[in-house]
Amino acid sequence: MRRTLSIAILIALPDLADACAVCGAAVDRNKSAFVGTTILLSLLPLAMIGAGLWWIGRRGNLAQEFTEREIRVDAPGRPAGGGER
Amino acid sequence: MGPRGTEQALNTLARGGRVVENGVVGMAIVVFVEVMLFAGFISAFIIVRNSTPPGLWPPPDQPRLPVATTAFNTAMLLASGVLLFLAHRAFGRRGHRPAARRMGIAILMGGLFVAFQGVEWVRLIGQGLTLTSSQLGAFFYTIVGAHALHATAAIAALGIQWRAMRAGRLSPSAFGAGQLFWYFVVLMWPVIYWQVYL
Repeated sequence: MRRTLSIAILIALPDLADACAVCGAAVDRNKSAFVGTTILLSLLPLAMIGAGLWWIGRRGNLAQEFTEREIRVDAPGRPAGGGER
Repeated sequence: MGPRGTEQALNTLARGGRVVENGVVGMAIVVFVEVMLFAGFISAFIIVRNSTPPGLWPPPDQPRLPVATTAFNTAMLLASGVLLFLAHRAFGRRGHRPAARRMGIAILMGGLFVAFQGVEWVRLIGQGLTLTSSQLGAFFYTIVGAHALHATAAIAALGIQWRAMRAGRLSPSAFGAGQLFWYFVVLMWPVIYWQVYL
């Protein structure tokens, strides 16, 4: 019983207190702004890291294609692995 | 482009090749930090704006921000970003002289953007919007001032690069880093305009 009551208080109280000493107004608009900016600040760095990795991957693919094309131009018709005598 | 591409990039790097120029990587890290700085500023601004009672934002006793003239200024900054991109393409395909022409115009437009911002600031201060007059003033000058500072630094760097480009001794790495910083300045501004001005 005591445990259930403690859990109920822990769930209910933060919403009542709004758990913020500086926000000043426990209005819905303000709470939404807190949630929205928290999501933004959490996801933005991950999105930037993801975009950076994607870009490096794309550049890597282009570099790979370029290297393969150069090998074909340097040695036309030469079988793969066939070295010079 | 999935994990295969990333693996290839890492393989190229491991073989001593350069998938991305060193200058660009360094600048990307700087831009990452700067984006988070502005995201923090704008988040704080959004929370403060939403904590005021309805109808009291912007503060009634404070002057209104110049939305229309800043829209024109925003268009000029975006055009400057496009011109720098065209300079980048010309640098790779047509040589340094046509690229330097486009880059020079891009720098000029960036300079005009900062100058117009300065004129706006003088007018707003005259009308009573100062750093300490209200929360709007404090956030306005902090966010827009930080952006203007970045724009000024980027213009100075691009000016130095422009001289090097005209002389035909600008490296692609340095140009890539300069471009990345300018694109950050250009693309951050519409977000600031949308959140602070509108």
